[in-house]
Amino acid sequence: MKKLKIMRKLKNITIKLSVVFLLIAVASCQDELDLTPETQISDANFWNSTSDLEKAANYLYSYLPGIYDANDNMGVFSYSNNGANSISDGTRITPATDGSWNSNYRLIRACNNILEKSEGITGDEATINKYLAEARFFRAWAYADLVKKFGGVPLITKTLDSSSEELFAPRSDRDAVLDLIYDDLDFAAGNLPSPGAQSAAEYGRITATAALAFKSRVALFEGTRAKFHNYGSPNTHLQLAIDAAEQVISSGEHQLFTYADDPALSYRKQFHDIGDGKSNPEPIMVRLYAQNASNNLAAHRMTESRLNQGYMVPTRQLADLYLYTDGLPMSQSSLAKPQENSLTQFEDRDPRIAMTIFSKNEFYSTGTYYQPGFNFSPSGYKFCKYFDPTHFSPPDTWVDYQIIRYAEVLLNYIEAKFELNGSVDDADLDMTINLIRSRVGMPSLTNEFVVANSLDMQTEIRRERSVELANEGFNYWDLIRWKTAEDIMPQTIYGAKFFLEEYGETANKLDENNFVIVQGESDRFFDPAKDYLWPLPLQEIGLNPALEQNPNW
Amino acid sequence: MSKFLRFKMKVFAILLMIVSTGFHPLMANIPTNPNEIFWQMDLESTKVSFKVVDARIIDVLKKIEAKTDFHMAYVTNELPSDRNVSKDYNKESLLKVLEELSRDYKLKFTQVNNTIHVGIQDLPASENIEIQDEMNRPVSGRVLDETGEPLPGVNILVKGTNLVAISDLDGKFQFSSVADDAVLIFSFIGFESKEVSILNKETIDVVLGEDMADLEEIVVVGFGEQKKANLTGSVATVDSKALENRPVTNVMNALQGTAPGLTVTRSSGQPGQEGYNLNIRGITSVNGNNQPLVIVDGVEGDLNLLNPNDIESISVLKDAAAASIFGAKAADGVILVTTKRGIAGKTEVTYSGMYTFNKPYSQPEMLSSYEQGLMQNEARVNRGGNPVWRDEQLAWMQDDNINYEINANNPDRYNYYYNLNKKDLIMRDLTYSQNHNLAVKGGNSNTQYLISLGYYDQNGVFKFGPDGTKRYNARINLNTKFSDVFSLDSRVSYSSDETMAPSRNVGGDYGMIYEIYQSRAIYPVYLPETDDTQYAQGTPSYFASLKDGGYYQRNRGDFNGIFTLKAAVAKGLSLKLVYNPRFRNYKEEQFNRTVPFYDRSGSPSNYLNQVNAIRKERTNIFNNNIQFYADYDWKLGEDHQFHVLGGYQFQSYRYDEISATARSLMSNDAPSLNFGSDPSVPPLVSDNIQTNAYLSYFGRINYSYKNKYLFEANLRNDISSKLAPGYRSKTFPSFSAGWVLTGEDWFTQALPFFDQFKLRGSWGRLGNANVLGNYDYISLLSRGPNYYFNNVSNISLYQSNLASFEKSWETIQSTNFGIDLGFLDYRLTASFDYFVRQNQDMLVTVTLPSTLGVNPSQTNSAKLETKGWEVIVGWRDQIGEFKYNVGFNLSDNRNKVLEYAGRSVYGQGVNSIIEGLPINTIFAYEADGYFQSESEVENWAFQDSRTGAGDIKYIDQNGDGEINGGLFRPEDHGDLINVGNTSPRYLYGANLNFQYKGFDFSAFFQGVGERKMLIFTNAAIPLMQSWRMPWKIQQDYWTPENPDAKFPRLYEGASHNARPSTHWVQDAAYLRLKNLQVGYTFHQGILDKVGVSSARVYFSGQDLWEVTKMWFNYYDPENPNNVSFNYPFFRSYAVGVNITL
Repeated sequence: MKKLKIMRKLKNITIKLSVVFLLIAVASCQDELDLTPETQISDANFWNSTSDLEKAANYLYSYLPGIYDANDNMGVFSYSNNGANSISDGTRITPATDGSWNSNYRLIRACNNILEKSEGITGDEATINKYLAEARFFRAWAYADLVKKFGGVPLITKTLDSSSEELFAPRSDRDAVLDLIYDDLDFAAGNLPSPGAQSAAEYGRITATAALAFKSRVALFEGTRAKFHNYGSPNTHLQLAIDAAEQVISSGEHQLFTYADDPALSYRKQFHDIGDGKSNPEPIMVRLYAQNASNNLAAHRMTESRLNQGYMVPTRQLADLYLYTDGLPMSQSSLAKPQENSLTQFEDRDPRIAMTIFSKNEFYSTGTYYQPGFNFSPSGYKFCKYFDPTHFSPPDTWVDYQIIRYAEVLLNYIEAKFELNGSVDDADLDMTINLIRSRVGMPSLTNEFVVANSLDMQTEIRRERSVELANEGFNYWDLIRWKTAEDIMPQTIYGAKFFLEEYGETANKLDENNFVIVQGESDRFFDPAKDYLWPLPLQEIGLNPALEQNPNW
Repeated sequence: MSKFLRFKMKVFAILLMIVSTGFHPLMANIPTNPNEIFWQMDLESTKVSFKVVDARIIDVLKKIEAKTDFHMAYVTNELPSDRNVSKDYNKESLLKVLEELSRDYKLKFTQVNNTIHVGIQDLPASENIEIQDEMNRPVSGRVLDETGEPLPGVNILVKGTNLVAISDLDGKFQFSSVADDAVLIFSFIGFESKEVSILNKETIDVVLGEDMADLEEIVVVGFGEQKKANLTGSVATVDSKALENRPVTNVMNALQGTAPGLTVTRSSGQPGQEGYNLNIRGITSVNGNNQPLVIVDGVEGDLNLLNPNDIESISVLKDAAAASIFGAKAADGVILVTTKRGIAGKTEVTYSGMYTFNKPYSQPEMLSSYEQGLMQNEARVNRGGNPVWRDEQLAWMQDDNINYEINANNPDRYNYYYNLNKKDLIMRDLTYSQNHNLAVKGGNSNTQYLISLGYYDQNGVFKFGPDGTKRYNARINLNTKFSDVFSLDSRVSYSSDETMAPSRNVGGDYGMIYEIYQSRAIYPVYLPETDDTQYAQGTPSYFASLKDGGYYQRNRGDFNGIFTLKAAVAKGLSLKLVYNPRFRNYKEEQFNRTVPFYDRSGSPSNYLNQVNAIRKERTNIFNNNIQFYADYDWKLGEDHQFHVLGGYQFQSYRYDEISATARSLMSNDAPSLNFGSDPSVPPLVSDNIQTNAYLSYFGRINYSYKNKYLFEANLRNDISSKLAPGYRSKTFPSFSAGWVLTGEDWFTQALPFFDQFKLRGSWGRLGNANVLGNYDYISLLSRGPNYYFNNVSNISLYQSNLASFEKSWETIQSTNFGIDLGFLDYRLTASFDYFVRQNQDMLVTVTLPSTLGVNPSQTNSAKLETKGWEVIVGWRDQIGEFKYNVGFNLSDNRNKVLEYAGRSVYGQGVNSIIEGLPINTIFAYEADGYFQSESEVENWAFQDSRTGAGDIKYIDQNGDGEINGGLFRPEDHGDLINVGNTSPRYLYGANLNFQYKGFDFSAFFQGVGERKMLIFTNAAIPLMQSWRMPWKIQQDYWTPENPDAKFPRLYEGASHNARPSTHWVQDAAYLRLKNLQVGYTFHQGILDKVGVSSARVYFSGQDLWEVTKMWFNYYDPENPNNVSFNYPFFRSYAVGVNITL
């Protein structure tokens, strides 16, 4: 009995003690609620040093276009084995959302964020300004893409939050957007290193000449667009284009690429491995991929999966554009002769045709030589620009994408000059087009030659641009700014001339000249009242009633 | 980490403290009087106090019966009637009392469970009864429940006499002399009573059926149990029988259709990756996954890893009143699972095994390469292009002897003209799975145990390659009583599973199944003329992926210990301390093995995984859960009953993942992180830690007046680390009440046919913390893609989401009304519930103009209302030996977004949230068949520049001559119309069971009355993309001769026909025979001879048959909206056996 009593007491103590313990436990559990992320960085702990700024600026580079964007499928120089591009044949409908609209504004925010957050950073001022200049370059890059596609767009120059009134702002006019672009690019050009001053480790970062070269591209676009669409003050923009291009030229930082082993092949080799890196003076702005199979964390498959499989194939529109070696176009050259086989069209032509479009028996990949046909090619042609046979199989390729190269700057300069003054002098031609021509061994373009052969200088300048920059993504936008899209886009897309003995049986439609009809006229549309601007995504218009849709969309 | 260690030590110290002091009584003297009294621990720990003077022994026994929980079994006239007993006990142990009574009055006591059988010492009970009939004879037998378990403590009365026997621990009983034609009456609480004639029988085996309608039925509720009769909240129970013997991968599959208001869906048939989703009463929030909180044995658990055979019962808590005690995680309702426990008695071993054949279904029927080619040509020409194939090539596709030619453009390559049915090549028609379970249970009245082991193994649909899943379960449930105060309930389980799958995505667009179903039939697997040794250039990689492409392996282990220390401190008051450490680990490995594809040159032309890589991921998840709560029951007089519960709970969660990837391995067959070929490139390593914690206080009070008027109130306060300091704490109340009209005399007199008529009502609020990220209030930076300046990798950082400091959890308010009815002696029962649930401050990411440039933060700015009802009706009866029951349940709910920051965009297709409309409303154009001629196109509203005869004709709702969505705003949505939403409506389940002698049969149907879904147009429209090959169903396309076809004319890239339109909206209503079982239970007589106590063999079929309104029948109606390519579901045919030794 005594034992029981003791036990009872013990039990009471137990209960009391356990209650006490539990109260302690409850009280101290409060601390356990203060949990913070252990594997993520918070914004509040960031933005201290220039190295933080660098990491934030690095993010902007992920918005650079990829090498697959080097194509003219939206225009008429290129066509996809997967069928027509709906922008090219005019069948697209207004989209609910638009990737380029969204990603440009994301890029703009990231830029604005850097510009704002940099205020608290201490460090070398030049270094800080370099990253601010990168941010302003990318902001200009994004707005230039937006204004090119959509016209005036809402102009956002600071970071917004969910309650910002600016979210519901109407579109700014074109000029306001362009003013910001020029302003940003001027700041960038003034604060970025020149390529020569840039350290090797920074190769790939934006330079001062990239900002200027891009400015010439934007200003040429706007100047010619305003001129041919008849609005605004074209000459202001054209002059800006000339000035910016001239600065790049006079900087002496860039030259056309020469392939030392065989200068005649420079144009082709420019787009192979050999053209990569700081040693090539021609690229001004590049999208970098990694290096080789052991450093392959960023690779693409331009050769095999894009070009071999015909995601972009040349059209007759492009093939017929190349001059003959006498410097005259197909319609006038005595060298032009009726096509008797697939190789005829490559004879006596500007050598760039065979460095852009595959010709029969050209080296294709290990042990094989190109044979024309309709496998993975609705036109019977295939591109060899950016086609590097050494990366055919295995297909991983690390060739960088030259987003802006020196040849474009030269072409921007000469075109702007011509459109501003209505004429160019031979000196201007010599420092631009004729440099490009001489690299491939073509005769010079002079005022005299133009007059003597009743050529049109504007046509020849445009031809030079189209040919040199073929399938690098310029064709569609050139047609838009020249206001020639309404004539050219609705035309039948033609392919190669068909030769039974070379191609074998075909099911393809042929016209009376035996040219392959890739897409007939009746399936192609371009509405000049509508198609010179892109439709704003419907969701944006739904969300922001102040946003006005482009005409007729 | 150190915080967690400290915390664990704290808990351990408390446990140790209580256990060590509480253990002492166990070491006290054990009484020694084994001959006369069958000693039981319970007798020793039960204390009685009473005083009697000159009483009869029978009065003393009655007194003991009143004072204790024991039932005294005796035959009145066996006992002496002398008034000679005088005793005075003060808190004396019952053991002691019985010892004294036994000694003083020559009695014999036998305790069987809660029954104390009283007899006269040394003389068999029956010999004291004088029955003169010469025809008398002995009879013996055994009492079992329906599952074949022996039932001890059953009262067996010989009809018309005072003769009583009680069944022993083995369910056995014996009478030494009864009339030859006597009738025995078997009765036991919770079971149907039964009368059995012994005529011509010497031994009698009786099976007592559980009395399901018994008002004493106990329902598991949050932190306790309640009598079903006293429930005021909305609680559905799932009979564990509904889950047994089903050829299902896990518990969730078996739950489908079993309880009204509970929806179970799955998204794939892939073994181990079925993507089960549970939902109670529809959508609570547009955020999160709307999955209910799963509580297993009182703490958070996981149904994926639970062995279905271990389940004792499942309760589904549907309204706030029932669920609110679980607080902020219970906004989507609660599923309470209780596992089986041991029971005192003979050790019993049960084996159940099942072997299942699974047959895949809902797969598309394939076309030959020739048929594909014809359709390709037609689609390309209609688009204005040139035919893809020449006639000659089409002829080769049909010709078995010409399968390839050398590509004239590139002599290293072939052009292929095979005709390969890839589905038949690598998918099986029949796969199998097996399931074995072994359970051992037993114990004495102090300690009961259950040990169970389970094994499940399922093969996938592919003929080779890694594809399948295995699961192992082990569980020990142990209850120990240390003393009359302390007892410990330990439930320890370990489960692990292993899933093997191909190294690349199987389902989804561009996954492996896409390649099997939609890539061209002209492609071979191997390069011609290589004797099947080299994979062919240009072919899809499904075959190579499976055979040589490496693997994905996932192992999960889950250790879960639930230790409940219970202290019965005083009468009515008990304390419970629950400590639950739970440790899960995930081990994932993915090996992308390099596989070369060859061209004619003999060198690899392309690769699957050109760079091979091994990724290893290890994740540890620690959950700590400690609960302390007290229960107090008391009565005020006979009529007022109170129950109070109060306690606190601390939960913490820590997810810790480390992942490493090595690429370019030096050997293609040594998947190890050590073998990256370039030592200067170390494996890529990353970690991810996620943590959260909750501290909660809760309380509940129940009051019942004469079991007629019922009232319950709950209050819970939750504090969570997921919210910003200062915003963390929130309190959620709930109230419920019930009125049992059948407890009122006036009611039973007026409406005597009601056995039960109960009205219930409840109101409550809950928090929804499931929708919050762990650190939403902190502005975090994300890693952007690396960039390669000068070919060196550079880190980038950016902000992807705006943070919100004020963000709080959602508040869910729900109101519920219910009626429970019983008629005809409870043969017919019915319940009806109606509810309204509001998410009052639903978190929404208000869609903002993209000019924001970052993902907007969420704000508590929307309001969602869900209304619905549930009805369940059951009928059970018996006609002779034919026992049957039928049940039917039906539920529906509809939701509506009441507020959404005033902004709404009507998009084409599914709109997740629009103010004033249900979640996932579909806006589409109304299709009106096809244009039959070009002139019809001309005279119709403008649709698209490509539109021609054979294209879908959309109705110009607003007559503006153009088919478009206007401004996509409520005031102008052009020609878009509301065609319904993707939420299922009218979910129902029906079951039919009967038993006749040894045979049993059950059929279970389940279905959905209405549901709209859009199908994936890239696959549904033939040649919507030139590389997607059509299927057999798509041969039914429009031509002038086939104007009412299923599909529009063939047109490559026909995005104008792919606009969301009523043409592509499917009604995914269905009725499915979910399960069918036929079983036979062997006759006891046969089994006794082989020493088996029960045995049943059965056939069980799952998903055997369905009917659906979907006309595109290559998808299952259960597939999610806009599903692309899914691992097929299976029909399962199983045979199984259950044996108890």
